[in-house]
Amino acid sequence: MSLLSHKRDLAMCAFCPKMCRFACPMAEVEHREAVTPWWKMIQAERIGARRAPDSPEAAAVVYHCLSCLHCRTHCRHAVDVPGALLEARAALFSRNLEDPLVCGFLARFRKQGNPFAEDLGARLERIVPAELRPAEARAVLFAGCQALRAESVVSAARRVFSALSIDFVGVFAGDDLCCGAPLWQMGDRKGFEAHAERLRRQLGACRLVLCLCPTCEETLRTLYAEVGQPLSARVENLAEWLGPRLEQRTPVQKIPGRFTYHDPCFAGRYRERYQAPRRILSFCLTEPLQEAAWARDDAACCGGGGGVPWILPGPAAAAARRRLKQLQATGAERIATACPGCQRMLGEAGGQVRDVIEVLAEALDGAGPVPGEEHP
Amino acid sequence: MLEPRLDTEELRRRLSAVVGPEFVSASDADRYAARDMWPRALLRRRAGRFEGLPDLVAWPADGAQAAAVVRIATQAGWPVVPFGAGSGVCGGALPERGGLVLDLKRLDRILELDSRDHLLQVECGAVGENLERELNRRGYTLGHFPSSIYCSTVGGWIAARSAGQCSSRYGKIEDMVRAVEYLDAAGERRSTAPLEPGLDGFSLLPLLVGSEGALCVLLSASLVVRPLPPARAFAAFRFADLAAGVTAMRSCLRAGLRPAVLRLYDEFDTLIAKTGPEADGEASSWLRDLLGRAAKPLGRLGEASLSVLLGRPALLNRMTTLLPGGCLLVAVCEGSQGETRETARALNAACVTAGGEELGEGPARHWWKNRYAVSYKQSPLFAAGAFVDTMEVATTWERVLPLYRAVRERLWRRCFVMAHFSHAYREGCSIYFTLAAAAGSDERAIEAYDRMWREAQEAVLAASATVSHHHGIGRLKAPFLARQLGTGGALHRALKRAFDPDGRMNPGTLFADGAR
Amino acid sequence: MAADETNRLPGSRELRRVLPALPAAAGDGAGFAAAVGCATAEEISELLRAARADGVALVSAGARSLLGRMVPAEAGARRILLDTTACRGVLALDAEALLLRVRAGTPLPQARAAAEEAGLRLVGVEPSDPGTVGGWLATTARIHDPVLALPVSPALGISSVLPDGTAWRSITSPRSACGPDLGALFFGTGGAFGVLTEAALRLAPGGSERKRISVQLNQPVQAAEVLRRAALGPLPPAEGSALIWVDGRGARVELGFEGTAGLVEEAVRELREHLKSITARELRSGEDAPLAVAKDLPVAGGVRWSRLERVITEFNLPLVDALMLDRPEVSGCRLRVLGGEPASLAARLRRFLDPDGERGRARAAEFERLRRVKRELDPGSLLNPQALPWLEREVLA
Ligand SMILES: Cc1cc2nc3c(=O)[nH]c(=O)nc-3n(C[C@H](O)[C@H](O)[C@H](O)COP(=O)(O)OP(=O)(O)OC[C@H]3O[C@@H](n4cnc5c(N)ncnc54)[C@H](O)[C@@H]3O)c2cc1C
Ligand SMILES: Cc1cc2nc3c(=O)[nH]c(=O)nc-3n(C[C@H](O)[C@H](O)[C@H](O)COP(=O)(O)OP(=O)(O)OC[C@H]3O[C@@H](n4cnc5c(N)ncnc54)[C@H](O)[C@@H]3O)c2cc1C
Ligand code: SF4
Ligand code: SF4
Repeated sequence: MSLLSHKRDLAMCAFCPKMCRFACPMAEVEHREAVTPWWKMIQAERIGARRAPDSPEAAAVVYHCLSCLHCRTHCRHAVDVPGALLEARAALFSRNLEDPLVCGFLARFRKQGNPFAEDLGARLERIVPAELRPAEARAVLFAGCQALRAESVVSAARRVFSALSIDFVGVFAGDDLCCGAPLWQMGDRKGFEAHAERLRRQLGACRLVLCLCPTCEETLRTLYAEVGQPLSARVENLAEWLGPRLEQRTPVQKIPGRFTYHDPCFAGRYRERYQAPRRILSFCLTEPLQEAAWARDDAACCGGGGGVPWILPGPAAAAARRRLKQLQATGAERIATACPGCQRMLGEAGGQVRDVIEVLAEALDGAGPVPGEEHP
Repeated sequence: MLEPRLDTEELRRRLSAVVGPEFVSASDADRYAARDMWPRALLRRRAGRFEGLPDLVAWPADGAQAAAVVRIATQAGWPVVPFGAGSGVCGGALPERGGLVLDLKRLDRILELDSRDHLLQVECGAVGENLERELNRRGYTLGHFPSSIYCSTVGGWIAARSAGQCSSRYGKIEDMVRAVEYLDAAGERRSTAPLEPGLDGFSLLPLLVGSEGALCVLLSASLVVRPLPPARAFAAFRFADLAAGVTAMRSCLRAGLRPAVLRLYDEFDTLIAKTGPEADGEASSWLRDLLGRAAKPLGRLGEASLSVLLGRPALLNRMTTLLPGGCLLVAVCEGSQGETRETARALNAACVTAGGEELGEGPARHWWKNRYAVSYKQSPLFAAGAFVDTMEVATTWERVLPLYRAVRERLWRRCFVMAHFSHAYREGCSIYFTLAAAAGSDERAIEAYDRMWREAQEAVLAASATVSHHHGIGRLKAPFLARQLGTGGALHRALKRAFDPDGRMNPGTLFADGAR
Repeated sequence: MAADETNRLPGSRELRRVLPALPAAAGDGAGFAAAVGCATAEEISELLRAARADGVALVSAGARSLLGRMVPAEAGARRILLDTTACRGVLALDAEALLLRVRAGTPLPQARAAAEEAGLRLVGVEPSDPGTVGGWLATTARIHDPVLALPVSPALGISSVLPDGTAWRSITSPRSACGPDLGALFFGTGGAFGVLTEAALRLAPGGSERKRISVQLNQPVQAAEVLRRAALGPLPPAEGSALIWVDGRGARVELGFEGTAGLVEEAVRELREHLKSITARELRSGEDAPLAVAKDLPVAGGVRWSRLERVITEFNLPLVDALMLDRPEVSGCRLRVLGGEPASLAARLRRFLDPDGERGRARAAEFERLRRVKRELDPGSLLNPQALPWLEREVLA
């Protein structure tokens, strides 16, 4: 893939009156014409065509994209804006023209192989007993960096497994606990490929990888293949995978309160997984879900995608606040989602957010809520 | 015009002190992107020319900041260009004289929604679709649905006197607006007193509505909203010719009906309206499909590229006279159950009496579902090397068809012409022409574009119709408006001097001043 | 034109040349230095140019039903009265575009008759309105469009002579997007920006079906609610008014629907449903004799629905006999008062509605802006110098 393969998309945007702009969270929170999908694509075309003399700051607009794909919901040409912008970032990186913020972040990432520059392995050891972290397993739960950082959803997943007597899934505990998506997002294709190769080897003979995080899921399933490192394992989303296993079951304790649901971009628009998490919630809750006016393929992004929080924390947080407002407008007291990244972004914006897996754990074993995650 | 008294850096510094450094930009990205959708500027961009760059872009957070920004900039002698979402198609938001682009999109809050009076108080930077959805969530609608609702702002609507697709029921934006809060060129913050219901005293409001950023900056507005209609009905008819369709529209309005939508397409636009919703990206196969279907005699031409086809507009135009399809009229009625039913019934009777053949709900439902699809159709045409623009004019009923014919005849050899009739009033209606053509190179396309517009507007002026019904004037039509106004231009100039004595506000837009 | 009259305009040269050629004004031009009647735009142009050259002020007049109150006698002595009533006549009635093209000096009753002859009605003109088309437009910024239930401009196109004597004909179009609506400089501005010579007025066909409904209500606030719902209903009423007695006799609402049979029926059905829910009584024919209310009630204001309740419940001073509501729109209606000393009551009610004077300040700012435009077009304020000060006084009283 390269920018060339996006030629048609770039041409469509170049002459489009910005029809998708109202849905683009970056355009909406930054209010700049230059970060509308329209202009970002014009800029990407200029990067592809190596048009001089675009200054680095002009080129930098291609980083102002959450990869949320909300633009495509309203694009009659089905343009893949984030795809093209990621190619543009890769082109900049390969020419050593990446934004200085990107360099800073990558240096941080390289410290521990995850965006938090933190020893996630230590956390994993703390929350998951050794017997649940087998070195070789046919099926693993790939927690991902966001979930490990938050901890609570990993514990919840364990409770769900035990409530459903699922004993054949171990928790992945290799050297690399992050899928590497941030490298891809920053345009460091070589770094990403190397990361993918390592992780592929660590996953070894595994047949099934269950993901808590839809970004990990998309990365492991699609992007690894794209850089020539396809996994031999089937990659599935935990909530979706659990769905059939809940048939014939009843919760020990239904959970009261008014909930709304936030569709994560990689679960929703990328995978069209709208029903599975809602079914789990209706299994667990006493009251019907309060649907947001912006939901499903029109759900706004939480601000956590595209690597934006790592380099542009201000706009990312603003996008989170914007999404939180939409969710709170439903009148719901609590928010459920199915992505640890969304949970973190919306939580930091001040929301009461739970992962569907946490809600499920509580409903299945009746042992009370999963201890809430701490937010910095 | 005076030379600015501060250099860019000094101005940037002073504005930063007001709005914060991250909300003033001299960056290439922000300067290049601060432009509207004027097709002529798109052609220039396609030719690699980026002209009309501002020196700075600023994003005030509220009215007070906006006032301070305008005061600082105009006092220092800089031009100020108010900017909404840049969906304008007439070069109204195109800072050709440089200066400061005042981007108003941070002013996007709903200030009040009064459910008894059906009055909405909203800031002018709110983007249409987001506002409409929020109103819907609360049980209301503004009833204003321009095809650009996804990409335009309240301020842009009021500044350019926009019309939505449901104007026959809800009126144009100028019918909905009850008051505005604005800044004059000196940065003084003022409000017009809200129009008092039922009273007929003078108000400044109609002089600010339509001012296209050349008199004032609009900060917020009070607009009439309506309850979300609980019912909707769809109907479509085929008429043997345009005249019969126009008669049908006129009699619906005359009977006092308020259909939300009443759109009549000429023969060629009928074909376009009926084809599939998907405007695919490849060199506009929709047009080619149509041509294929429309005329067998086209033979080899049917395989020619789009630009080649559009390079021979006379041939295309002739073909459309051979089209067998007749003219499609789509109607949508809405309101309470009872009103919707009765309006649909009366509308049906009026159309059938005028010779309309009933086509059922299908075409109208199809239109409704794809009502913004048209806005995506420009990209494939431009990408294929052609160009397209639209001209929306209006006149009274008895002159509608002569106007239609006059424009078509005048442009016969210049561009491919099709039209629909989409905003109807008791006294007359608008005609929305789509004009498409191609030329050998981008530079020649720009020449062809200018010639096309000159001749189109000549025809409109000669027919005593209004040069714009809802896109506004901008740079494109300023010289033609000056001719339409004739001696009335003095009134225009007086307004300009009264609000903006030094000519700082959006210079070159709306008021022709010989530049360009 | 008698020579001694022009003598009252010392120093005038151009006027001395022009005036003798123009006929004297019909009727009485008393109080003015001279009074002439102009029948054409050319004559008006010539007169305006001459007056401007000589620095003499000019007052345009229609039937003078209002003018007497606008121009103080002592001011008139230095001004020329330009009578436009000779510039009269119906030019064309376009039944297709529903437009009546008339010359500005045409008496409103004549214009109305021309419309009625064709089975049509002039929109916005009430049967009791006196004066000429020009005078009416010069005092009417907006009229009520019952179809949109919102206000619209009173004419679609005009011809006029601007203060410097140039003639201007605007385009006639149902709507446009051609910059500010310049008609606003002529409608409701007392002729400050030009002398109207022609106009294209809106006509409406009478609906195929008409129905009047009268209702007696016990609770006055319900009357406002009935009007409000009607304005939002399936067929906004062509006429709607309510008389609210403050002495406990309740209220009476009258609504007139006009339109297709189906819509009229639907509007009446919805109305009756509402009436049932509030146990109001519909009056049978015979009981519903039209309310006799003086036509020139002082206008207290246009009031938003949400504020009306307070007005109705709190503004029952002993001096007020009744409140009259009419011209219902989506967001409110017009309010007038009966009883006591009307003008001072109206003023009190206006203060009641705008206690902190916010509206007054906004209005004053609008006039300040309008005066600037006036200065640009008519630097010496020689055309209708009375107009803006009078309008402003009326508004800010
Ligand atoms: C695909 C497409 C379809 C369209 N369909 C329609 C349609 O159906 N109906 C219709 O009416 N129009 C339509 N338009 C035209 C355009 O969307 C309108 O003119 C719209 O009102 C412009 O709004 P904006 O916010 O994008 O304004 P901009 O393009 O940013 O500005 C337009 C003008 O208004 C001024 N302006 C903007 N905001 C302010 C403010 N707050 N204060 C003062 N001046 C201001 C600018 O200076 C400029 O002169 C269409 C355009 C496109 C590209
Ligand atoms: C008792 C009474 C009270 C009224 N009170 C009011 C009131 O308070 N407010 C109100 O708005 N209406 C009022 N009216 C209605 C007013 O008389 C009408 O607006 C009427 O149509 C004016 O027409 P006219 O020909 O008599 O105008 P005139 O009284 O002759 O003139 C009224 C104004 O219009 C201007 N004018 C007249 N002809 C032209 C022209 N051709 N071109 C430009 N300007 C012109 C004059 O200069 C003057 O400023 C009242 C009427 C009556 C009888
Ligand atoms: S993604 Fe589609 S809608 Fe958005 S700017 Fe590009 S072409 Fe237009
Ligand atoms: S993917 Fe999301 S953030 Fe990126 S351009 Fe599209 S809508 Fe905007």
